[in-house]
Amino acid sequence: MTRRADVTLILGLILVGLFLAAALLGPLLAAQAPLAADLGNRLAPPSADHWLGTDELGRDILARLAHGALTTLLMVVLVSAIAAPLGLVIGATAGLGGGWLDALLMRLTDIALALPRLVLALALAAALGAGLMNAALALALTAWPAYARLARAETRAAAGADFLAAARLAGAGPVRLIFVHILPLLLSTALVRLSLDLAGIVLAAAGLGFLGLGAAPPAPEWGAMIASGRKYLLDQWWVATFPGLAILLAGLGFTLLGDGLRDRLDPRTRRA
Amino acid sequence: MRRALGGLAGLILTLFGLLLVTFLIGQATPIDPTLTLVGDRANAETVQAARRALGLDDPLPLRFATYLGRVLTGDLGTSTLTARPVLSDLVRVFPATVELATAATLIGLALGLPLGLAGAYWHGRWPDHLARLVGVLGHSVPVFWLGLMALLLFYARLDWAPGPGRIAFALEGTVPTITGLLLVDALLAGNGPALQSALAQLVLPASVLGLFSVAQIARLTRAYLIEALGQDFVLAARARGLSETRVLLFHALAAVRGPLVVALALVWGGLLEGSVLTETVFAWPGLGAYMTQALMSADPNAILGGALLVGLVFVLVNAGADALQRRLDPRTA
Amino acid sequence: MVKLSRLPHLALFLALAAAPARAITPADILVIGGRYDDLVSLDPAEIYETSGAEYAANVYDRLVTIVNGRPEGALAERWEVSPDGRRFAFFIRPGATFQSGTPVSAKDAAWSLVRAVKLDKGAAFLLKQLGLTANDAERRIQAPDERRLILDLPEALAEDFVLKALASWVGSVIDSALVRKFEQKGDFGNEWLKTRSAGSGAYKLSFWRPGEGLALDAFPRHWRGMASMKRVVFKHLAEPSVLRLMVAKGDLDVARGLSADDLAALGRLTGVRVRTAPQAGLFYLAMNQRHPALSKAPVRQAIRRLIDYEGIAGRLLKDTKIPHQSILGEGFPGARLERPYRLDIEAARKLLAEAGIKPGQLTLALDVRNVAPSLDIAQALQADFARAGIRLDLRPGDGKQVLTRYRARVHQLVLAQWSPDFLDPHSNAQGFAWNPDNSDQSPFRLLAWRNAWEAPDLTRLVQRALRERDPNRRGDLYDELQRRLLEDSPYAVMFQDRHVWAERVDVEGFALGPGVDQLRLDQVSKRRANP
Repeated sequence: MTRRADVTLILGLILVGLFLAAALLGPLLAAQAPLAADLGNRLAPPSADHWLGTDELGRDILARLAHGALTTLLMVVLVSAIAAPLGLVIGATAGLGGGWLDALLMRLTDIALALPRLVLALALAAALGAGLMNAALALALTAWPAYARLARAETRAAAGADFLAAARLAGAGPVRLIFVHILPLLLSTALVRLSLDLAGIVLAAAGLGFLGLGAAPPAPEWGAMIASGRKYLLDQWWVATFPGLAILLAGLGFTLLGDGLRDRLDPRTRRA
Repeated sequence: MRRALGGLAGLILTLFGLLLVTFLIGQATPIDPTLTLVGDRANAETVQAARRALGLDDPLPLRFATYLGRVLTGDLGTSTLTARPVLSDLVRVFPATVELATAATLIGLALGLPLGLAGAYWHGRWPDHLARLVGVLGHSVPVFWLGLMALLLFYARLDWAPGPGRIAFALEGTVPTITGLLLVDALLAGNGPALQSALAQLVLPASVLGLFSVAQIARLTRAYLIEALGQDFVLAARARGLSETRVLLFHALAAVRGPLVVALALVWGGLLEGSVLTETVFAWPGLGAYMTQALMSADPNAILGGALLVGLVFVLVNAGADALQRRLDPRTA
Repeated sequence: MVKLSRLPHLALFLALAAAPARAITPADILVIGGRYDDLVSLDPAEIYETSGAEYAANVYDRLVTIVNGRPEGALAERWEVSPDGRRFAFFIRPGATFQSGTPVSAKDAAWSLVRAVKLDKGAAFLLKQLGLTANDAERRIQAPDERRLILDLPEALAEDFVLKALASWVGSVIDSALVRKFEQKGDFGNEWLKTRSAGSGAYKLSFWRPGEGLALDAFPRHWRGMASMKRVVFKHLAEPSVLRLMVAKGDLDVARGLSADDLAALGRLTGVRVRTAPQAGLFYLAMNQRHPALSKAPVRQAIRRLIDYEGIAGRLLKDTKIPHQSILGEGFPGARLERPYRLDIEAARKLLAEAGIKPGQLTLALDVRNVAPSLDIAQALQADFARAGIRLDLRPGDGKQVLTRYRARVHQLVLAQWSPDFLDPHSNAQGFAWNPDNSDQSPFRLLAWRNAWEAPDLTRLVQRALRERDPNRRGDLYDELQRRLLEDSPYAVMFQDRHVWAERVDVEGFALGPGVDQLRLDQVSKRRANP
């Protein structure tokens, strides 16, 4: 059991590492500029000059994929940085506050959990207008409830603990309690949960990009690259195929990493 | 009884929240909704009159109250894309999505259940790894890309599947609409060629969308079964000398059918949502294609109406699944 | 043992051999694929988009029709114009009947025209520019008997212009006895007719599913005789690669809206023929005169020289658009086909320096539709502008978002499309050069207004040309107008649209023209060896 979890984890780490390397180093190392249009060399097949070929404006697909990795990474970071803290604070507040505050916040969370995420994110992104920030906001605003639930459960479990009572006696206010004493406790479970969510975020971001709701062109974005590449699917397969593979590999990496982390860190699944 | 009432109150609250969310999203739209009504070359007065007619100049709470009142009476506004009431559009397009999502769920069940069974039975061996692999892949592949690749391979290159669309174009309009589910309608009308064409058209998009449910169903079946296999009644059954196959199929599987049915309902609800990206690729004239078109032509009423419908079905399926779980699973009673 | 590694290939071969023969479309049904999601109403008084205009052209007849740029009788077998040019008399053809069986009379025609003016929907201006208003339409359009329709204009206008306006889709003659049965709250039956047909044309509506497409059935008793295609299906398919695939495989008879690359590939197939025809639409770059830099003539001149007209057309557009720089496209009588501007970075740099703008100093925002080829063209512009030291920020949006900004005059540069409503030069002249009131409250918001371009001289010129009854002198006025706009204006007209479509080789008579509604389905047939 542990061995399989490790294999999963290692595979996941490798893929995610590759993704991070592409995102952070790729733009520096890529020999070609991702935005440099070269109409004379459009839709060129993979070759020594352009390893993955060029797109409809003659731009190097490999360079665009590397920059697209950065876009995706930015998106993932933005969504996690908004959704997770938001959910955690709401959940911790509910768990610590109890009573009507708990009831109110958890009702809100339940409502938000029961709504269809992708469709609402889509409607929201459509209303806000295309753009990286808006797309991230749309995804984050539909992703926080899971964290709130988790944080509330953990906070309730810890509420009776001695160290909290001690902190209270020492005069810590609710804000201090939450940020200094409770949030650190939630970190490992939240990270596991987040790692399981990341693949979903990558896919949802690509989906929004595919529908033209992601980063504004000419910024390279994987979903948008597939959308514009689908016009050339029949003769120039590489234009749409490689961005799809990139999404697949990134998604796979995050899924494996999440599974592996869960198997390792989450005590509930560690048995057997 | 109290629990049921509480559930109902929760459901109503959730629906209210859904309405509030869709309303607020609608308010954020930067598009001049009068544009499609009066055309691009209308003069300023015509535009003003259209704005007043739409109530665009009222204060926010009043507009929400108006919105609530309208939605509760089934008025979702008029789609600027089709110039018809959004509700009638939804009634027209939704059955196609239901058909697709149901077919995808069935495909998911047909492939996912055996896969999950095998994974549980040969726990830790290659069938288990296969089940996990499918699960992980289904989790990571972008459905719109997979759809494109499937079309490229099975329609363009191999000619095994028909092209995009819900029925051969020449047969379009030959089946009278009764339920809106084309397969059912073709059966009712006794229209053989239409039924055949509709079935053939369904296979590819349903399989692509179904991959997600295969993954989910296989993963859940495997997990539930592994848990059940460790329980006392299974040990007892084994002790009675029953074969391992019998134990798995008749005892363990029977024990987890409750959660499985619930999971299936949730998978179905999720596929309704997932169809948004699939339908555009396959020119499948359902809710997803409708919403995407609405998106492309900036039609807020249609987008919000669609989101509301998906939300409603989603919420109801969720609530239904909860209720079902309480009835089927003695532990939560 | 056979070599096992061969097996997959063998299986593939068998599968290909066993693949069922593609079901081609039936011999008497025409299936057309393309963009058919823009239809919002089937009422000819309300229709305002290309697919609607094409629908109306085949379901409804008009008094006159335009053939090869010249007016020709349709429901009116002939017409007379009074010497003062203000009274038009149309004589209705006997024997024409509506699809309901009722004979077509002059009363129907008069009612239909008055109805369009009084309903005052988007396209009503086509008739209102003849001087007709909701108040006096009934007085000015009269049918003294079943055969005669009299039109009294408040002032004399060019005859060609009047006939072309009547030949547009708003001039469709509607079955008044039928539609009036469904009138409610003075809507002239608009609510009913929105989703139904009540015409005398060669086809009648079979069904319409908004966003998906529509189908028409031939009307057996049309006065020109029954059409050869019993049924025509218009299928909405937005994806060029799907269109291409389906016409290649015979699932479609005609595919419209193909991309330049797909056309090239289809041209190599044997079962399919690629065709093109001029279309009146123009693709242009507009410069808002409220922008301090763009209001300088040398900057406008520089921008015209920063566009790689030939390069973009050759590489990105191929046959779908061709370079064109005057405001009247090929197909309009008197269109100027000369193209004085070409990409010249050096000249542009000099002009910019002349305007006091140093390289790297100027950043401009370009609003553009987020679809091909607009976005591709915008990105090509971005690269060339950069070479002259102008930074171009793209603001992609969907068509309506871009239009909303354009109409609000908050754009700086916008890549836009112009389609004339009917094939008279006035349509474009008014669109590009007529701005009687440049204030924010102006009721007239055509292109010159949107770009805040005050052009009093040209506005007067447009008015004069409209009233000029001598066709030759009228032609000279439009020639002058085109020349002046080419010299300097807030527009850089870049391309003219071309219809491009692919059809199965057995399709005959499918033709498109410069007007938006020149498709005549009753002239289409299929040549099949064994039906």
